[in-house]
Amino acid sequence: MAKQAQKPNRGKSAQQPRRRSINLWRALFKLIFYAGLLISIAVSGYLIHVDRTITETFEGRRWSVPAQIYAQPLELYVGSSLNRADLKDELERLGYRSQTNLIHPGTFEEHNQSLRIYLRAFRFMQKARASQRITIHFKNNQISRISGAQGNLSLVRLDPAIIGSFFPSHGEDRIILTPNQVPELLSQGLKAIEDRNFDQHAGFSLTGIARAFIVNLRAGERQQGGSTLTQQLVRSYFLNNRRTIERKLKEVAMAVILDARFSKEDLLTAYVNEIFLGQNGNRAIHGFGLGAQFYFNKPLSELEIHETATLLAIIRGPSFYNPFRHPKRTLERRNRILDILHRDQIIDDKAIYLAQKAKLNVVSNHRRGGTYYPAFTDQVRAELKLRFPVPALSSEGLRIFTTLKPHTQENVQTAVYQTLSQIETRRTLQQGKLEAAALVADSQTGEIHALVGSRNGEIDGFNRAINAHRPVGSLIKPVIYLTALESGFDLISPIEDKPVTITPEFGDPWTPKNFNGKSAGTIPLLRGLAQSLNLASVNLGTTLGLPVIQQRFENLTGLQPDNRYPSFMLGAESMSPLQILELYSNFASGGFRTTPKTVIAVLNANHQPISQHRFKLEQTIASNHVATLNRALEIAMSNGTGRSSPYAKQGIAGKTGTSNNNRDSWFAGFDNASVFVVWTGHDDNTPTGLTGATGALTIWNAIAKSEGLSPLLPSRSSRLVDIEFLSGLRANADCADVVQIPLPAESRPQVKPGCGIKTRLSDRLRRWFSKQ
Amino acid sequence: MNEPLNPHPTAKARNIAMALSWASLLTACTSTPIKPEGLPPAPQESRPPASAANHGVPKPTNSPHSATEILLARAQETKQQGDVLATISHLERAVRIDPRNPRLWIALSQAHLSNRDLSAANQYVRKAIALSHGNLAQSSQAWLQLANVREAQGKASEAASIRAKYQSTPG
Repeated sequence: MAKQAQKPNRGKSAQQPRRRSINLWRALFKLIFYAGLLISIAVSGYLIHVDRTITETFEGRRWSVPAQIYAQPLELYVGSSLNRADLKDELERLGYRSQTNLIHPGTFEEHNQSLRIYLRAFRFMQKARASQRITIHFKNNQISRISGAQGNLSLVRLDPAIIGSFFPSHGEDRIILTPNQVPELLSQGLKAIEDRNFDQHAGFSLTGIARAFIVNLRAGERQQGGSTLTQQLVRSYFLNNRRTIERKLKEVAMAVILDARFSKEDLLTAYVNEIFLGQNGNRAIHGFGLGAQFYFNKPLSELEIHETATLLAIIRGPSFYNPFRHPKRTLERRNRILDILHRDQIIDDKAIYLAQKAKLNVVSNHRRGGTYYPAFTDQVRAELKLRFPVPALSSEGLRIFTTLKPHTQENVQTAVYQTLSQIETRRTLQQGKLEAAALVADSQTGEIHALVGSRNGEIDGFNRAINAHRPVGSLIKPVIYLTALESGFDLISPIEDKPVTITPEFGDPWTPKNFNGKSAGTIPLLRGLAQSLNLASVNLGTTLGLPVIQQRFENLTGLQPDNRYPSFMLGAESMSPLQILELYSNFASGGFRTTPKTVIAVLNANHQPISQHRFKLEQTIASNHVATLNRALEIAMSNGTGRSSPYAKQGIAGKTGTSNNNRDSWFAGFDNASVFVVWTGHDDNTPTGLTGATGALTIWNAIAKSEGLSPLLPSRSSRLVDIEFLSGLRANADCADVVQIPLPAESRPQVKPGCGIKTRLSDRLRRWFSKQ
Repeated sequence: MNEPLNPHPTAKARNIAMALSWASLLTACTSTPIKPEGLPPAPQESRPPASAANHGVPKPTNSPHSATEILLARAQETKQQGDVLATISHLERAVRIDPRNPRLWIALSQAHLSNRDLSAANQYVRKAIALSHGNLAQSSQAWLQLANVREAQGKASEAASIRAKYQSTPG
């Protein structure tokens, strides 16, 4: 029994450790099971989170399209004053290439008296225009005929330049392409250079890494990357460039998920739209669509083989292979890429022969290549912000048609830059310190054709045309003289250019001075404005009353004056160049306050207009008064403060302005077509030593030289009288320096003795009695 | 619309034209004073369109003519289809080519009138009147369009007197 009894005991004692061991295993198993479950849940949760994040981001990025901004297209019509050289220049600005036969859109062929053009297709506001071949014939510096496939055409327009886009605050700009807009050469080239197994792998490729390792070892440099295109895409979307194991694992996980989620075509298109290709100021150039525009100034579809190869070369290091800074290095890599494309039979023998011989061909000036005008687009943004939420501008693929004329913009920017340099050299001023702003607008519609906000247009920064509010000096005076004309004065009414001290109700006495420190005595009203005499203007303004003048200022500008003291009359009132443009638009347009504008229309991604921006005008001045004032402003140029301009007598009206101690130099004027405003000064508000005539006017001279003038038409007044400019007496060219001015019927100017002008008996009697 | 009018209207017609011209400007004073009150009246140097007809009025050059004619025709087409936005778009394009052509501003005023934008219709026709100064035919068209705008503004009697003047001008 005992033995028997022992058995179970022995058995029991032997079973206990086993049971304990089983329990331990069970516990361990449970632990592992639950831990595994927990880890699985956590990993699954993480993967779900990652999946959701990258899917959302991918979809979001795919449809986040910055608004594209277009310049005004050049209109071509019979009789248009455009010669062959001008049109060729415009075509080259748009990236059209001169070729001997027109095979592709975006090319032109030169002949003696004509240009054949293969116009690009473009979706205009009204409708889409297919690509087409046309011939423009010239005669006497004009277009004499336009012919197309269907016969003669009366009107045709070039495609407009893309001048910028509203990219989000992180600075990424891009032109989005759809899968069918990605050229075959690019997609094949990308796979050949960056990811040979792209079509087979699941987002991650061990063989790719091994191959890249061997290729790079053989080449002695990093020719191939081991990352798949999908991994590169993930990096660009979500990750920084730190090389840590954690980041690499995350990258691989994300790439695998993306690859599982989306088609290869979607991924390749996303890559084409996403990849970083260069930096331009605070604007990051992303994607091949914008890359083609930025480096070659033409659409991706028009790139030649060697140009596509250059973009493929840049991917590896947009800074290291920057074709503007390192052309030799970039050219070498481009040629290696061409070799690979040839080896993989993507291009044939002839193609590689021609492509290897080709130069880099990037645009000579990357400002022109991008046709990127940040100062102008600032104003576009300001106008659109009133109608659209900011995110809509940077993500909804809007198309914004604007009023910019690129050739005018470039002429004005060049005039500003060159003239400031000349002024600094001539006057031995500190180089690079002078700043400037300039605006050119259509005088009848208010549409801005050029807006320059700084000396150097390619740099984003403080936009002086819009945001610099500076004392306007004598630019304000036409408001006083207009008020006088509307109050019964005429251009020969006598006014007093005599010393004056004004003691306002609140404030210190004010004793203005003329620029030359002298006073001219009793003078005709015309001379007060044309010679910009301070004493005459203040005396006249005091007679009219400051509140009346300020009320008129409000009508003309929509602005409340900040300065309620008499010094307002000499321009101690700060305004921006854009506000001055609006003030002078009243005169230039023939009496209509014409609000400056830059936007014509905004279309949504489906090409439907969602906002149309009308010409905004309002009649503010009776036609007789504005005609008289404009004639006086024309004489201010020909005989007054603007007379130093070589264009002073060529049908331009305008006014110079100088603020106290020569801190601000202004010019505002207009011809028959355009209204101009120029400001120059120092940002720190220190004196420049420049007057309106020696500073801003000289910039305008340079603008007029490059842009040409459209002279003002002769006055249509029923009564034009020759008077001596200085005295206002009736005279003729034989006896005096005369100007012809409009006068109301009842105005009876006295005759200058010795001019041989016969006067009527009634006038002689009136003079005789007035002397008694 | 393009019917030529007699360039030599009677003196009486001229006086009416002058009166209407200034009445129209004074109407504008209600929103934007053109002439400050309490000051001597301004000398009136401008003449109604007829009297200035021989003062070398610049004619639109031939250059933009064919282009603007095409755009006017397209505008007419879209107008008949009831697409006012496209009409305005064609006309604005024409104005960009030839901004001093009163016919275009008249057509633009008409388009905005049919779109019930009376403010724009009013200002554009004023622009047309200012630009047609000296060209009787175009000036008459502009005034008749102003009559349409006045009528839409509920100023029937003013509209009627403008029409009485300009429709009676022999064609």
